[in-house]
Amino acid sequence: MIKYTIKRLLQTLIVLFGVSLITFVMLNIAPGDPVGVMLAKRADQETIDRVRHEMGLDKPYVEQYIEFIKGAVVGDFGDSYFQHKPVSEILAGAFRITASLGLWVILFSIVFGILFGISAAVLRGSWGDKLIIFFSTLGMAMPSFWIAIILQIVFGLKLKILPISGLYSMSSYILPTVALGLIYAASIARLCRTNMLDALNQDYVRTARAKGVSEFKIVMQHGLKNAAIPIITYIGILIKSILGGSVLVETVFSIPGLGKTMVDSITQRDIRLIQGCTIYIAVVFVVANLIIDLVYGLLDPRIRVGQEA
Amino acid sequence: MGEKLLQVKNLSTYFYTDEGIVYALDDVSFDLGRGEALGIVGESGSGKSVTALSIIRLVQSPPGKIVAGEVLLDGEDLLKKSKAEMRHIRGEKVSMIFQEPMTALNPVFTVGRQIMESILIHQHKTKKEAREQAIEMLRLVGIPAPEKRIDDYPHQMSGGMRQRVMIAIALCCNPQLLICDEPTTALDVTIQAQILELIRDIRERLGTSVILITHDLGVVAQVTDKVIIMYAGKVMEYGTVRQIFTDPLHPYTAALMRSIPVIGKKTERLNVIRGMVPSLSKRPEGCLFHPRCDEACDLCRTVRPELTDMPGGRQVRCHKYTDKWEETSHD
Repeated sequence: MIKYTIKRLLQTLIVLFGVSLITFVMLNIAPGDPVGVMLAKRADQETIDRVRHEMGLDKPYVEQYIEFIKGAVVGDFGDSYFQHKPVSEILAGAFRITASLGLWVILFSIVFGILFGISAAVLRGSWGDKLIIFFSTLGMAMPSFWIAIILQIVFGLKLKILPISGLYSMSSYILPTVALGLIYAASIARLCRTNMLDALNQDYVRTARAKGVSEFKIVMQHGLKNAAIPIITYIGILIKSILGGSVLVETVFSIPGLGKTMVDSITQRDIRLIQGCTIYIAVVFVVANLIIDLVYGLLDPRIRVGQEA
Repeated sequence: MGEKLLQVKNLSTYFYTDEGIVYALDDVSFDLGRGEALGIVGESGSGKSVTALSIIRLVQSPPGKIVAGEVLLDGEDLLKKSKAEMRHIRGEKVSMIFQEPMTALNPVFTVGRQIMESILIHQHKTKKEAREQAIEMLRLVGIPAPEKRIDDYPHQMSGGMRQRVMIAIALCCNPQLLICDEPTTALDVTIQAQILELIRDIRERLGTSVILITHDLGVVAQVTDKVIIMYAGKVMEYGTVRQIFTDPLHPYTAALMRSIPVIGKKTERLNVIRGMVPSLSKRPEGCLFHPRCDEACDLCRTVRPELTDMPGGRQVRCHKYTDKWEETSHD
């Protein structure tokens, strides 16, 4: 297990290096000059050159890249061209917002997804099961920004019981959490139902029944642990996409999270901020993948042995 | 032989499917004495596994349903027990081991935990005591270095070892009845012999009554005293192993015997029973075996035979042994 962990960590570093290189190259060959955007059309060539020199954009690419890497290793991505603040500071602020909302979304989708998924599996074929399948299909089919707008209209404008924008109080988390979490909760519920049914039909469940194990323990221990792997995979994907920030929902609710920061940085050609965002998302993805793989090993002994071999 | 531990009376289990009612088990009765071993033999689909599952009420429902009968264990009807009472009986008084040792154990728990689970449910013991007992059980079923193997996961063990673990789980609460549903079918022959030896040994040492379900008459001969031959959900013949082997009464039993190849005896081709087991939802009129029976007459085609008592404590379900047979003419 330790050997495997070290191997995975090394792979992680290589992936991050690759991401940084590709990002850097892509941004420099992409059309659009940050200085041009910054100074608009009024500036003459002399001013543009001066600003380019101040920003270090006239240096050779290799030199620029090495400088970028040197900073990136210690978490310094330079200052944003437009906000005149360190990129790391902007990212940290946006991350706090996205993460605090994301935590609620993850909790919401796991709790409701697994609860309804297990209920549907246990009640298979009944009205309760059909109702859960119907609503989870609905939940997966509705786009989150549309749900967001509907929730705003119903609970904000008509009923006037919940705030519709910003993140200032606990109650203002409710609508964005539901808007973002519904689709994930619905997916988890379906996934959980399918895998649970599969597990409950296995021979080892019959063995457990023959031992006199109670139905509750059969479902929660024998069933859930076997059904967990696909669910964990999905939760991993969910965490990754949530920590990346949701552009649409953050925009609808005016939440200054990572999704909004990233879109703004791209429209402004704020190269340093784009680089910072990209590296950040890459880190989130590789680290999340690493954690998921390690959790698999804890859940399923067969995977653990496969890795050691 | 001794007092009765288990009495199955007129047990019927039907499956209600889209294609109609499947009469998986129809009016089955038999007794099992304390410490006795009974073999239930039949082809696939003869209802032998359903018999076992009906006794401990693990028939999947829906579509299965036990529609009639009694299953008396020590005189108490298991079919009248509540679900909670049944949980206390399963694993404690009646244990069961299954055909597929590869899938019968939960892959994500160690074998130790799976043995201890049963101990902790049925006995007032601490985890430490349960673990010690689990190690003892593994030793009893002949697993070497049980202190180490107890922390193995099922995939780290061979099929024979897993079946031993299943037996350890089944025996850890010292049940009165052990039901083995084709315990050796999935194992190769040498391992099969070892497992049968183990079951026989346990029966002698612990006095556990055994029901052994199999399609293999040879397996039955090694372990049990009495045999039930089942066909299409009904008991066709009942007797001791010796009676059945030396003097099969029912044409079906006789055909089964002929279908066992004899080593050293040259035959042109293997003896098989012609035809197929009838669909249990569209059963033939009269005797269920008559479409495949060489001796069938008009009576067999119209009237369903009853189980008839025969000398020597045997029973057979065939018109040949009734008065009616004498009255009808045969040509």
